[in-house]
Amino acid sequence: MSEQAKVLGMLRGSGVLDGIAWAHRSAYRQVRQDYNPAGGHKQSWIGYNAYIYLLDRLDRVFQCGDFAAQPGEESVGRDVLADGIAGRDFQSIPLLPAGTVVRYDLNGSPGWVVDGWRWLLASYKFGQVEKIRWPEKSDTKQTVARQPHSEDDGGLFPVTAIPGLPPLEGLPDHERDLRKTLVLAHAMDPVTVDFELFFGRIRWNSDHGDAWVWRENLLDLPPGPPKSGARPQPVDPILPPSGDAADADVRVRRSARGGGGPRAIGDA
Amino acid sequence: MTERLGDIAAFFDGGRLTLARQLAGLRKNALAALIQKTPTAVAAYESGTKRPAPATVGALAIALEVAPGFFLARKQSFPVAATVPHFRSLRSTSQISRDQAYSYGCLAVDIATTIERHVEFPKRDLPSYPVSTEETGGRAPEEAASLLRKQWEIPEGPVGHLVRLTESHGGLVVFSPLDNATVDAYSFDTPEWPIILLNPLKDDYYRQRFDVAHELGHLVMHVDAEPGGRIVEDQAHRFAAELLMPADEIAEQLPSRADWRRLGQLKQHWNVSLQALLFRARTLGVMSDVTYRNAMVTVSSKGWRRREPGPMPLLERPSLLPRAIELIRAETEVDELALASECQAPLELFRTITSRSPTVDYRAGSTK
Repeated sequence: MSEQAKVLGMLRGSGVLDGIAWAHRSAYRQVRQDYNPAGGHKQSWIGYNAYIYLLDRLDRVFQCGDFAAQPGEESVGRDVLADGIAGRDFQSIPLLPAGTVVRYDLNGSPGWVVDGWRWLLASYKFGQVEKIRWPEKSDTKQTVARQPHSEDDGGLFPVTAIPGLPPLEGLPDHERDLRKTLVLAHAMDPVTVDFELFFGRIRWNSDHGDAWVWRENLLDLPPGPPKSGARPQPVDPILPPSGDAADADVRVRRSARGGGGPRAIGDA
Repeated sequence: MTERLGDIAAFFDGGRLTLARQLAGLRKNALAALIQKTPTAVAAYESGTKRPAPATVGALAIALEVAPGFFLARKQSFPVAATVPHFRSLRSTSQISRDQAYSYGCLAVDIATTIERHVEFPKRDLPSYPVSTEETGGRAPEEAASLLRKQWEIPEGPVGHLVRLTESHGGLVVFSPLDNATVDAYSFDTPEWPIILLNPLKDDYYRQRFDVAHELGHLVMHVDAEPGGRIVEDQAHRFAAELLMPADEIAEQLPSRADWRRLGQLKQHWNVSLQALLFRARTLGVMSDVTYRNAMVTVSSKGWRRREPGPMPLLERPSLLPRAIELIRAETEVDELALASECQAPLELFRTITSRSPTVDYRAGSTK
């Protein structure tokens, strides 16, 4: 099985792909809503804010960072997950068990890991996904792009056939993690406000070639099957009212108790 | 039934239709599609320029899940907010969500007004201390909180049951339905009642108390302030902090470092969250910005934003409307169904509004 099929199958099976799709949908709805080109917003505004919102939504849906919950306590403090986002986004948020995805940054660049596979974020110019120039990006992206990978990248020889390349299993942890680091790339057209979302393995394209070893257009993927049993159950049952303060002072009106008078104030 | 619908059509009140539509969270065109009419027709029914046919009244009732009688003109008009409703996240909250939340609050006020025909509620006693939202300096929010403490005769030290305190001074406190969870807690004033709507998802005693204090701040200070702005929200936070943790009482107790053991003790004493104590320590200058920021990183990384460590008391729960219903049933044998009918409120919403606690069905993702 190809790396692409293996990784995407794992992400889909664990519900993570649905989480990424939700995060992107919610983040870019917010970008579109807030984007105000007449008020001075430029492409750089889109890039920065899309990054900020996507980071927030990925942490939110995977219950990481500011939205972290203890394992088994997904039902606790759900108002924090709802805080500040649109109602329909909260109502459609996929509920994964806390700890399915864990924050795993690389050199300060936000990253998330599931089952040994990490991804980082990258923005690019809309419509130019295959032309991203990794040698011009941050040191972190350059490091990731330089990683050898397990698939043929179209070169004369398959990468796995390079003599002296140590197998993945023999690597120290941090190098193995680096080899298993992928990229979630996002872009929005400032004129049409269309957007793109790709996921895959990037390659060191100092040759001005394709920026990717493999990539998947996540907006083209059909929605996954509905997950069952993922809904959190309440962990704190509502307890009896013992210990609560006395009720507010409410009295039934004398007239309402009967006695032939009007039934209540205002009644004839 | 046809005749009854005919009667209702004759006394049809467009304002009640607007209310039912907003409660259902529908735009006019969505409702028009449901009843197979044009959006223009729906707009005309709501403005009163056109009266719906009896069959249309039936279709509207089914589409909006209310009894046809809900649309009948009433003796008193529906409550109107005397202040602008204060929603915190205006940018992310759609107009339709705000309309829904506001209508729900109006329905709660209407229900309280109807129930008050049978019972005597505590008299309204809420001070007004309008604060300028043009200036960020000064101590106006803190002074407003001190005024409330004085007027409500809150003794020195921690504030007791804040929901009950609000109710005993004539405030209405009600849980929202889950549909409005992203709106968070909100509030507005009406000629009948000041009302605070609680977030049904907030299962945290300490954070809920801070919400109530924050909303009291809006009610006391922001008579006509533009809601949702950073300054207005910050003022309500400052009000809440002073109300729950008066500066001259707590300043010397707060640690300058993130001493979690000490903060845990203060949390138990003052009935406020660790996050509120850190906020207070920073705004009072006891804690430096760097220390505060590092402490908040710890709070996030440990999952304490969702649930802080330590015992969790029961949520403060409203009593005014539930108590009234219990008393009316016990003393006059008028049950909940009859009261809901008298209020002309959909039963499910009536139950949510008059409940002591939010009953969230996590599996279905809705309140029952």
